[in-house]
Amino acid sequence: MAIPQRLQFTSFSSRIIAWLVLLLLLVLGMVFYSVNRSTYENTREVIDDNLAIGLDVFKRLIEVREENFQATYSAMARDFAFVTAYNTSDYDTMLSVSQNLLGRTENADILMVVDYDYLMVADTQRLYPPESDFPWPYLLEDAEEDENYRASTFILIEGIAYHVVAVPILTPLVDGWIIVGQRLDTSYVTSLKDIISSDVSIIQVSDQGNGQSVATTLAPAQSGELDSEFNMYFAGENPTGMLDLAGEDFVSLSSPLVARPELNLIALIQQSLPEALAPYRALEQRMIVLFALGLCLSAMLAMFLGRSVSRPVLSLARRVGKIEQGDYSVASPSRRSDEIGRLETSVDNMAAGLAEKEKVRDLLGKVVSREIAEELMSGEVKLGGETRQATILFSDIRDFTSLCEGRAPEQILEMLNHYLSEVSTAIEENKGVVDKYIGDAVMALFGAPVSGQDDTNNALNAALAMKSRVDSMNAVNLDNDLPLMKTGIGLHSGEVVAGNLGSANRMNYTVIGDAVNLASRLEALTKQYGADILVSEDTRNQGSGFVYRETDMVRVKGKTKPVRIYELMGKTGQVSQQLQADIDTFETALAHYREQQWDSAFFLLEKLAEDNPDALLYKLFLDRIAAYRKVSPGTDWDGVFTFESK
Amino acid sequence: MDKEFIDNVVMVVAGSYVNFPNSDDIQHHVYSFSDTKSFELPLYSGDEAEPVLFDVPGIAVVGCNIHDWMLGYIYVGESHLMAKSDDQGMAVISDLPAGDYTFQVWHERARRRDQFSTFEVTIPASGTATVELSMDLGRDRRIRRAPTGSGSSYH
Repeated sequence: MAIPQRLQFTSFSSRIIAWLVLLLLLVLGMVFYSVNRSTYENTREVIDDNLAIGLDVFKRLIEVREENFQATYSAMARDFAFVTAYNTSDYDTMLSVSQNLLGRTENADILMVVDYDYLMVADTQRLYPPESDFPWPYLLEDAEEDENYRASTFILIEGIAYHVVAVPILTPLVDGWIIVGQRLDTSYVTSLKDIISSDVSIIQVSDQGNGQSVATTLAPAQSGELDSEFNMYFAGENPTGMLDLAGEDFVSLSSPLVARPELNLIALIQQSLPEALAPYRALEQRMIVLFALGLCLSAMLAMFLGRSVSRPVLSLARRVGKIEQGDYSVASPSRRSDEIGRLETSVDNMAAGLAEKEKVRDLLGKVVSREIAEELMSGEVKLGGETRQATILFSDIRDFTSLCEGRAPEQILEMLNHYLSEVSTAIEENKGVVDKYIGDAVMALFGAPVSGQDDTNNALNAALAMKSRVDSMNAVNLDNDLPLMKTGIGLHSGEVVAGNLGSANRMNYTVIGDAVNLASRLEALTKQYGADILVSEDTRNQGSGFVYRETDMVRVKGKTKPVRIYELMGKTGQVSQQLQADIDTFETALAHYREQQWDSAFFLLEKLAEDNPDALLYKLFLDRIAAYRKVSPGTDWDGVFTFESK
Repeated sequence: MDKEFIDNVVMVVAGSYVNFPNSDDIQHHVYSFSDTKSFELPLYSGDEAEPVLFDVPGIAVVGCNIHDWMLGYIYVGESHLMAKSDDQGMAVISDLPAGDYTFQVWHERARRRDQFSTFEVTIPASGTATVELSMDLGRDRRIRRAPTGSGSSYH
């Protein structure tokens, strides 16, 4: 019984836990999600702003460099010595001059001198020999369009990007250009990255839209993927996008540097999203830890809460279970003042109440029999009764008073109680109810207050049981030098009135009626006939499975109707052959007796008496026959013996 | 004058001298790297500069080293048979006998390919032959005058 109950309560506890945990998970989950989302969006915004600023810085740097070069080299181009040297057309000198000029300028990496026919004059890299075609005529074409004959652009030399500026050489006509440039290589983009803290890449875009990084601050693993990830998506209307490089997401902003058929260069400013989110990740982890902790604590709290309810409830259930089974022991008083405490107190009170009732019932059961106690407690207790069919048993101890002689009262009481216990047990075992004790006499009921199918048989069995118990008791008493008790039992079955007899304040549950009186008379007769158990004809007829000896037909005082009486010998099959033979013989003798065939009767009876010298029955009848022989009972004699006194 | 070559195209016959008087109150450094005549008049003021002999026919482009927008042309002709066009664009060569002639046209801004392009003309016996020419001119190959501050002298 305990286990299912326990499971139920555990699930109550766990229900609380489950609901709380669920709720918390929901709330925490929402918090987490919204923090996550807003951080991500915020970070994106910040990155986007950073990239835009970075791009502006980049563009500004290019601009500044341009202005710088133009200013510096315009001055240099006007240097008379330079112009003079230019006019000599001595290439070696020009190269030397160029190299010198280059050396004087910081941040300049190449210098070329080109004439008005777009032919190379000097090249500090010595890649393009004098009088070769200037590889980037469009620069000079742009310069010619400019009012100051200046221009700038980006070029690619051997895979390296250069930002170049052209300034005119005047002799005094525009007669050529100095082209000076800065390398946009890894160190350039790296120094830019140092300023703007974003990754910078310069990408050459082919005609098909494929990208090839020319200079980049990205790690090799990432830049390798950059080329393949890149597409024309960046070259046009969408400057911002996300590139996945080596598993890392890079927010990228692109801006064209130069978009000519000859060369298409794009600057890409990027920031790693995971890197930007890294500080948030730390926060995330802390949040997770805190949330997990909070969840655990809450779960524990919920468990504790659940237990604090389910434990006392469980123990109460156990207590009630005990009460159900009759254990009314009082637990220690409740220490709680809350609802559970009130329940505990109520259960305690209930237990006390039940215990009291039980005590009363017990007591009542002891005073009257249990069944009577139930009967009394079940209905309204008032005077009056009901008519029922019942078998009444009377018994007492023969010559009890002489037994008591010379013995101490305590001893008598002890003997008596022992005897009464035995006899009562025999009665109760056979579903009888002890109605009352009258000194050493016992009155028992079979069929009241509750009637059953086998009331009469029960009574008969009870009588035999009583006899057997007393016999055993006597055997023990014999050994212990205690008096032997002889009982006589009378049984009759008939209509009785069962109910409360007495006054309103003091009443007895009992049965009354003629049947009761007859049973009592029968018991009294046992001594005379020397029988242990005498039953009436009605009882004999209602019972079955027993052996009887018809003893006599009597008319008791106060009644006119004669009654046949029988001696109960035992259960069928338990009577010895000899005894059965005796019974049959006596039956025959009795028949003769009733026919007034004194001789025949006498003959049989004499034989029986001889064989059973202790039997009173035979002697009784022999005496009667002797008396009748003297004084005939008359021709209309019914064979009934009338008792003048009780 | 005023940091410009006034009458910036000067026509002389080979063997003539050309003067470069400086009317500004600052000095100029006049030079030319032309094949026709390379010369240099280092910083001078007023009439300090020596006249320069132009003995080789051709064009000499003259500039000022300080004021790099200053531009002048000396057209050194082989003979006196040359004329400079006026405001209306008319150039007249007189004293030519009748006959067939080939003449060249030069303009400072003419495209290189058009420069010294030749034209045929026949001067009739009776006098004038008029040839109408039009030329596509290229850009001015000089840079614009540098913007000045509030004044060109110290106070």
